[in-house]
Amino acid sequence: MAVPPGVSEREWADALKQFQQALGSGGVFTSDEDVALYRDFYSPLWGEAEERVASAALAPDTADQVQQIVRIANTSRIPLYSIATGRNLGYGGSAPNLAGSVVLDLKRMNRVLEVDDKRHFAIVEPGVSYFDFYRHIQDRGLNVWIDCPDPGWGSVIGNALDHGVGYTWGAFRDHFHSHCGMEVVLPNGEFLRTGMGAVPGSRTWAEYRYGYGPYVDGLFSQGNFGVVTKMGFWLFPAPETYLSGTVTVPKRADIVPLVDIVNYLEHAGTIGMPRYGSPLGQVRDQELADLVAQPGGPSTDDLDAFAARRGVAAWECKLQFYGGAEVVAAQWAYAREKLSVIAGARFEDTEFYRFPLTAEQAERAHKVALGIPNLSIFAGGARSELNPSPRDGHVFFAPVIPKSGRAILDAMQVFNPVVREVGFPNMVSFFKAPNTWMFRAFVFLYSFPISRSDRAQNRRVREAFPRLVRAAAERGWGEYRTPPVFQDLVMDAYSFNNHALRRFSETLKDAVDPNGILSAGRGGIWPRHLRNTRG
Amino acid sequence: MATRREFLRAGIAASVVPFSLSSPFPRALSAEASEPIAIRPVQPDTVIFDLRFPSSVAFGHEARRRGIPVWALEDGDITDLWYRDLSLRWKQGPAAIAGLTDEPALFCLERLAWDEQRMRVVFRGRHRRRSPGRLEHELWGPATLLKQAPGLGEEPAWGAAVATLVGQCPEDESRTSRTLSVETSAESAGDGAEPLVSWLIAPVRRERGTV
Repeated sequence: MAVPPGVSEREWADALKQFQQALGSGGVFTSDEDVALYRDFYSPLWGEAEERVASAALAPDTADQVQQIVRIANTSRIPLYSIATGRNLGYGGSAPNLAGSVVLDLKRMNRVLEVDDKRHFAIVEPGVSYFDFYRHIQDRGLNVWIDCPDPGWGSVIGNALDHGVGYTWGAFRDHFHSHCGMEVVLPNGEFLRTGMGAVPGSRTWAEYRYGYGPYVDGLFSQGNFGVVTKMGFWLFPAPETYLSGTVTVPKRADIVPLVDIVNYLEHAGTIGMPRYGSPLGQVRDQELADLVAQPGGPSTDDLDAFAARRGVAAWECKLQFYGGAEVVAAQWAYAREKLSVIAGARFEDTEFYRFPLTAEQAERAHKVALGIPNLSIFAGGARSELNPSPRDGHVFFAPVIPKSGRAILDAMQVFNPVVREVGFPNMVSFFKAPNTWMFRAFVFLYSFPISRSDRAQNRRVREAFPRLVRAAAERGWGEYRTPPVFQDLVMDAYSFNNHALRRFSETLKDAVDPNGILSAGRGGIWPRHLRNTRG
Repeated sequence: MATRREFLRAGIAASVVPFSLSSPFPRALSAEASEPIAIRPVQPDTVIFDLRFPSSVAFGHEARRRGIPVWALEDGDITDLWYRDLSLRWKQGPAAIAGLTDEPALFCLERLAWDEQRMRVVFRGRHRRRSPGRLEHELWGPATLLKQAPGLGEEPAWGAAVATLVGQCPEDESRTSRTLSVETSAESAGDGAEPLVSWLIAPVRRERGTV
């Protein structure tokens, strides 16, 4: 049995007895086989001495039990690492930043406490997955949608706290942004409620997020100031219909006006999540391959000439509309009119659904765009020269770049040389489209393959990250989310005024969690006693 | 090839025969496997297989032949299996499942089984083509069980043999498991390069006081 860092075997044994008293033996896990399930299966340190592996796991069923655990840990100086369901795959999974931490697994706390489909909100516990949430709504015929990420098995709260994102309307697919009020167990075991939840007997917990006074909710996302045990969320009123249409533009430089106009449509509330792509980038052709292989990459003129000869568009964007049938038809007509100023723009009606879906429609639809959780993304991995063992997972490099066409072209210029130099030449792309989950920025995502049998490959990934983070920072870009092994690195880039942001968080950490028991290192924030060594 | 719907119908219609040594198994085990396993085998509620892989289909056929309800995956996606079946069943209590699938399907099911009922993988076989004509079966499980598995036959018949082996996995055996590598000569019948995994997910007994 592993012993957490900073405590003796005897102290650990005493603490375990107390944890068992609080949870019963069914909520305390210390065997190697059980604890192994909390490893990060996508860890770039898999199987190496530096891999951050937990020592034990605790699974409370109630917020009161969370409170008891935290009090015991605070007294005994046991490091805890809280997870909701531990599905932060590609960004750390359920493994802690500090090796030997005790995972506080909140999956058993899986109650949907309230859903109101007239005021369009819900309050849930951290173990509620998107599947649980969806089923609760469907079983009761409630007139609201959820917004979910690609894998639907994650926690609604956990995803929001990790700044996770989805696929529908801008107000809902930034999951932390769509939350409203939370209940938190602080490191001293005290309960805190934020926003309107701070009013005893509150009737508006999930309707007005700020309450009164400083807004502190952000401290509990990607942070380590408390364990969130309840959260409110705003929900999407179920639309009557869904319509999608695709616009294509012929030239490479057309991405600039295309993004400008789509931004206008989205920020003005006309469309849901836009989805960019490059039809030209899908062409498999030796002439194009030769153009791309030129030193310095292809010229814009060459690409435009090739695209014109083949009749292939340089870029496309799928626009999504939600609402009444007449409304979405009018919005699509308006969008076409706005986008027609781009010479050569073409339009195609893509999908139209009236809800409820037929079984056949549900089968072929892009489910997450309709708020339907699923796990199909795990069935989609493809073996390739770049990724010969795709089943072993990946880590994401996820820089946030400006929401402009110019930034898309810049990002390729910035990152292509780096990914080539660090040994991933097949990741070089001149047709890479941004990820549009965020309402007000793009993510320019790279997915680096991880191997559970090839340490050299994982080492190359680890060596690539500092280069990529630095390249981004030199352009004024930073990452929004990253695995524990890179969190200090990423936080280092947020260095304005001699790292004032991190120093402020550390000051708060020392005040709120002086014993440093909660999720040490998460978000690049270490407690005082581990600060110099970073764990 | 049977469709998923046909398999589901057959699986539901079949009388449920305990997945144990009392069933009339094919003689997939070698002569060395003559000693019966004294401990009661785990009885899966459902066997899961993937229609894309002939060996996996053979696994499903064997389970169905013995009356085990089966669930066929068409493209490796476990969403329907999870949402329509396991998530509901596991809310009621633990229920063992077995299968021969690709690795992502097991990856998902292993975590979901842990989440819902603290069940774990108690048998795992990794089956992959190491070179043309050579298959490797890397088995992990209770030692008494692995002694029974010196040969697994040609593709896709090895799928049925593994189904038989999984059907004998004893309950509550101590964790003194070992890895056994078995190599056979076989021509590909269509499984392709994708490694497959056979597995059994079941409740595990945790000793009181040792957590």
